[in-house]
Amino acid sequence: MNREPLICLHNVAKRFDRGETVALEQINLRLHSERFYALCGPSGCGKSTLLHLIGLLEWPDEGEIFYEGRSYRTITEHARFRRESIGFVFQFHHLIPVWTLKENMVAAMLPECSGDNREHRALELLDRVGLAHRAKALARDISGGERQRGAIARALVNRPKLIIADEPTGNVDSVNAMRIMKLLQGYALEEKATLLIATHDEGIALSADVRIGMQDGRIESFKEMHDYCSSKDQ
Amino acid sequence: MFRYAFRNLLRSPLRSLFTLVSIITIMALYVLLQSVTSTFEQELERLFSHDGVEIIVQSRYAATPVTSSIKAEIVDRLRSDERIAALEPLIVGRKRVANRASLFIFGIDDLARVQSRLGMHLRDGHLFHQPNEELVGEKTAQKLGLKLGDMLTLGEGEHMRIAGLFGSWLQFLDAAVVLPLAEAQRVLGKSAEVSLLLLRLHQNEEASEVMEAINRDFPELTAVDALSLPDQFGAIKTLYRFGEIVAILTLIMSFAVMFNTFLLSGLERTREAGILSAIGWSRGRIVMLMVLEAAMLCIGGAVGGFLLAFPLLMLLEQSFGEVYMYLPDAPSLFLLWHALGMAVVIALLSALYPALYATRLAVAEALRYES
Ligand SMILES: Nc1ncnc2c1ncn2[C@@H]1O[C@H](COP(=O)(O)OP(=O)(O)OP(=O)(O)O)[C@@H](O)[C@H]1O
Ligand SMILES: [Mg+2]
Repeated sequence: MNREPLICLHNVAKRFDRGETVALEQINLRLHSERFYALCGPSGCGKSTLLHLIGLLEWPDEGEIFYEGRSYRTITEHARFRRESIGFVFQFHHLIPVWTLKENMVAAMLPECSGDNREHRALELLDRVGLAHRAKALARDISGGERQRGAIARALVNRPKLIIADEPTGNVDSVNAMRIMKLLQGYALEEKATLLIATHDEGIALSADVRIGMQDGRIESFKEMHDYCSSKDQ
Repeated sequence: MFRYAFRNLLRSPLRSLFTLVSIITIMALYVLLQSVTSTFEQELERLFSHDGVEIIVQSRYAATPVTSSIKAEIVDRLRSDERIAALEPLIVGRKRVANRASLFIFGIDDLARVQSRLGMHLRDGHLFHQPNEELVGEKTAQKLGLKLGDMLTLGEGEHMRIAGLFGSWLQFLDAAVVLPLAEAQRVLGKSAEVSLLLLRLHQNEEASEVMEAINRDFPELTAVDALSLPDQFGAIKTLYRFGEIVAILTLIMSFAVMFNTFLLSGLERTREAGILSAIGWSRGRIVMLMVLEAAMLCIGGAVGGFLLAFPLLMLLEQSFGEVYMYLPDAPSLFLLWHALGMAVVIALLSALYPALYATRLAVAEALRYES
């Protein structure tokens, strides 16, 4: 695969507490478009930190990150970049609790599109995640599973090429978990988007194209899943 | 944007409500107190800035126009100055009538000429042309239940017949009694003196020259530029300062209330800022949302306070038996603009810091933010 990668990390490191906690070290990674990556590893190994760096929610202490060959250092309008290029799904839904679901959707959309288009798009996505009937409910008044689906709808609303999800199924029951994964994968397939999902669920990792294993802030393994499965079979 | 700001106000409806009520109360107090001082201020300005009055002469050590006293012979000496085109003597005093109210009494030499300057128009009756006739301001008449032709006694043996009822631009004139100069002098027991002289010159450019001459040649007088008259009187100056202090206190109090409200929700706000930033809102847009939220509260408070001042003024007026000269019937509209202007300033001041504080963190940190 010699195409230019969608995301490329070069010697990235991230430390906290004035350098005392090393969250990430020597990260080199290439993510290609239209693929599904599962990020696995024990708690505290740095998965969330890595996703935050790629999602431009946090800044690396060392190294460089590229999006379609463009260094994050050259991006001046971070908010705009996040809005246009990345859909981020958090472990906790992070909807604004006092806004309605629809308002939460519309707020995430590009201010450039007209009001009608935004409303239409918001309802279309809510319908897709099975929440059209809850569009006018405040985010704080709906169930945990519904909130997480709402958060997914919000992440997809600007048709991002990269969808990052940090344990999207961590706080929901198995039925909702399946539903969420189906939504994400279905969307990625349809819109030719790349999926990067941090998870503890090996079941999810099995359905991915690539499984990235992490340990103590480093990338320990990078396996194409058909190889992984066949090696297990033997 | 308005919609999101409004939703945020409903985040904690009770807190927003109490903040709103506080702002309304503070603003109502502001409008009420300012109605007293600024009405007076405006009226003085109106009184002296019209119709070419250049110079006002009063006795040098007088605290207010009521205590100013200028002897008749001095008036005559001044009349001989040929730079002066017209010299209008005026006497002002207060009298208690009917055991209830104390009224301002104005003695005016040539009423017909002054009339237009004061915006005086007769509602009923005619200008006085017989002795012992008086004109009564409509507010006085209303308060004391007087009609045309009634007698209003202004002291021992001074039974005056009401020849006309008038309205004017000036609250304190409407709450006064107007007499011909000579009769006012008699009633007030100041036979050969007046309170103020209003001078008009042939040539406006000579104003400062004439003022200098008067101040030099008449040690018992001061001559001032008509527009700066209010500054000459301690009592009036105090009233102005009072107005300014009330405005500053209003700003501080509303600011404190708003700031407190906004700091209280610091945690929610930081999280919210993190979320909005994560979904692609720029810092400016997030700050704007929070300022808008504050502005909605403050503007609501300003409008509410202005409206609340109407019944409060009415209540005040009813509870005073006296004719209250400085109290207008309703707050003037410019106070609404004042209050709105202050509301915007308060909103900016009180929301900007908390908003900048809430948006200071990297997004990931803000989302993790706990305390
Ligand atoms: N803001 C922070 N301040 C200090 N230390 C932090 C901060 N964020 C993360 N860390 C530390 O960095 C390391 C990696 O954290 P991270 O949240 O990325 O792990 P994770 O793999 O997502 O874990 P989990 O599976 O439990 O979510 C941990 O040791 C964590 O304590
Ligand atoms: Mg994590």
